[in-house]
Amino acid sequence: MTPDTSRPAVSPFRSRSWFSLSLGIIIVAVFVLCAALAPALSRWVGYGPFDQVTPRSVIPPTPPDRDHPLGTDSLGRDLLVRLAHGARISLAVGVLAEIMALLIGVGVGALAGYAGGRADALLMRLTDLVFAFPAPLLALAVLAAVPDPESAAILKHLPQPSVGVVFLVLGCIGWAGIARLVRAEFLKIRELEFAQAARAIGARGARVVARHLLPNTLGPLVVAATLGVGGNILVEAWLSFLGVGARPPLPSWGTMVTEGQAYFLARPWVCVAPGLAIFAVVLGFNLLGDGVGALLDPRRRSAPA
Amino acid sequence: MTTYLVRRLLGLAPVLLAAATIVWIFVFLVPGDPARLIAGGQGLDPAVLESVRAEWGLDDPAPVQYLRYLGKLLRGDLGVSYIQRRPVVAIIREHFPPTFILAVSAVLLASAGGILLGSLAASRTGGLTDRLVLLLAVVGASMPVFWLGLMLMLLFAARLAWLPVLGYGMEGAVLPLIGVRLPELDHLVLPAVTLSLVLMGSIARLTRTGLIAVGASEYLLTASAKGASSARVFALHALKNALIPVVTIIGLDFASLLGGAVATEYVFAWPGLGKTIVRAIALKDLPVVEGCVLFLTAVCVLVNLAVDLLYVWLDPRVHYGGAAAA
Repeated sequence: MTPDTSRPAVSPFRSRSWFSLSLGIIIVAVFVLCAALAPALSRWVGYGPFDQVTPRSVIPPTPPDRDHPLGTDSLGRDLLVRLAHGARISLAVGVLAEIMALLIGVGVGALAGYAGGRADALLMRLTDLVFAFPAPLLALAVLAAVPDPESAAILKHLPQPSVGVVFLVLGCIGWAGIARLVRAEFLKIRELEFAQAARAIGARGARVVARHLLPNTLGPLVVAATLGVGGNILVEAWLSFLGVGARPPLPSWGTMVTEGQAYFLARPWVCVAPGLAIFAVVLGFNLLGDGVGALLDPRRRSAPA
Repeated sequence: MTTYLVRRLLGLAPVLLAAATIVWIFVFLVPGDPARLIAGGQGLDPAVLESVRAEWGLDDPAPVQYLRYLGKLLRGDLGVSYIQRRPVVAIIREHFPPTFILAVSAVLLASAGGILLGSLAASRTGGLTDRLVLLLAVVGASMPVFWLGLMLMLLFAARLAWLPVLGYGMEGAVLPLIGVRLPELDHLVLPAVTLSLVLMGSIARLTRTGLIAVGASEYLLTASAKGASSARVFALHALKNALIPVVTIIGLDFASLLGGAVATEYVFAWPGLGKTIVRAIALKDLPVVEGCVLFLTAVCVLVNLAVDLLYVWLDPRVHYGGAAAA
């Protein structure tokens, strides 16, 4: 890419990448804190995400007031408490699914990129296949067919079967991009001097991969994984909104939007807060990923990209 | 070119076969007992279950059922709805046109808006417009479409009452020959705008990047030196080349666009495939869910093929197969 010579080389972009990075860190940290403190919040206010808090004399949902800053939902449950507990679901699904995608993707990509030849051709054929699927739609089809995760033999030991199955499906679908990335990086660096030197002194393949090649792909991997967590959270919310993800009464943000949708035009606050939370946390991860990417990529520091 | 096309079309087969297999596994093997779903309230009677199994071929061994399913697929038979008791293909034929109209409107809106914003941003990099466009791109990528739809509905339909809240409108013209009813334009606005915002940000960002990249190219200088007006240089030489990544993003993001369409249709009660899918999920009408998803997968794969072919037309440097490659 040709550098843009009409502008000073560093100023606008560098400041923007720092802005993305710091804003992203702040947003993500706030939500991690929310998730960590949700049980403490429940203990402090004296009710959990499933408890009715409105007096029997009023018909919920009640609008925001002093006791319930975000109002209550149609079953009289405090929305702020539910929102905080929902952060645990979103973050858990987003991060666990990404860890699973990383495990599969790095494994496949490293094997293909290091071994080359037949194994490479075969694994990449498989990766292309998975990559060609419209992932969210496939997840929808698969999850719609799992009738109730609570009773399925393999899933019922998970702490929350309906959430567990979402993260398993997202992890199984999301690895193709990671595999491509790792393979491409490996192809770039496996013949560089440091890798040749490691092989020359007799290091085994697994050691070369783990100690020499993988650490050098860490940068792009971190960026992809951060963006991936945001993407997973968005898809989880979408699935829950459509009724195949987390089941009620779990306070998943997507489910909360669905619950509020029925009486949305008259009592919008029930939908507004969880949707805003989804947007904010995904924005946080995207800003963080973009910021880290810009910092790690030396070309993008000087040229606008 | 022809060999390339044939090879690409053959390459679609494994993708579709894999999708069909996954769908089959999940519809007919995993969930308890389809016979119970079909029999509904009469499912407690063993005799009824037995006759349902015989009628729907559910008592054959799994491999037989699988091969029969693939055979039916090849003949364009996606099964029969448990609830509506009519072929899934007929349901798709009825509900695909609204989805198609919505998706095409959204892509057109997103392209027009994205290219315009991207061009504005590229004309002064680092300026305020530029920053706003880059912000829009990351906001668009982070936005839950279904929630955005609800918010736009709240503002423009409920509070301001400029546009209808939901539905397709009953007074739209019917296209001759194919008999497809068009939506009323004011009903189309909110769903199409909602869906377009998914793509608009990334299209704007890529147009901007593309224009900056070609901006310094020598062929633009050549064109200007030969006396072409700046508008001509921009439209014919710069924009056409900057459009290549835009076409890519439409291909890459088409899956998210379809996912967004499902949610948008559900929010706005748009009578397309998405709403059909969500309703079928609620009714546990699996053949409809899986048939529609399989169909949309095929659409998505074909769109990506079309995108690859568009390159040839857009980028003079790309040639597939043939001796024209230089």
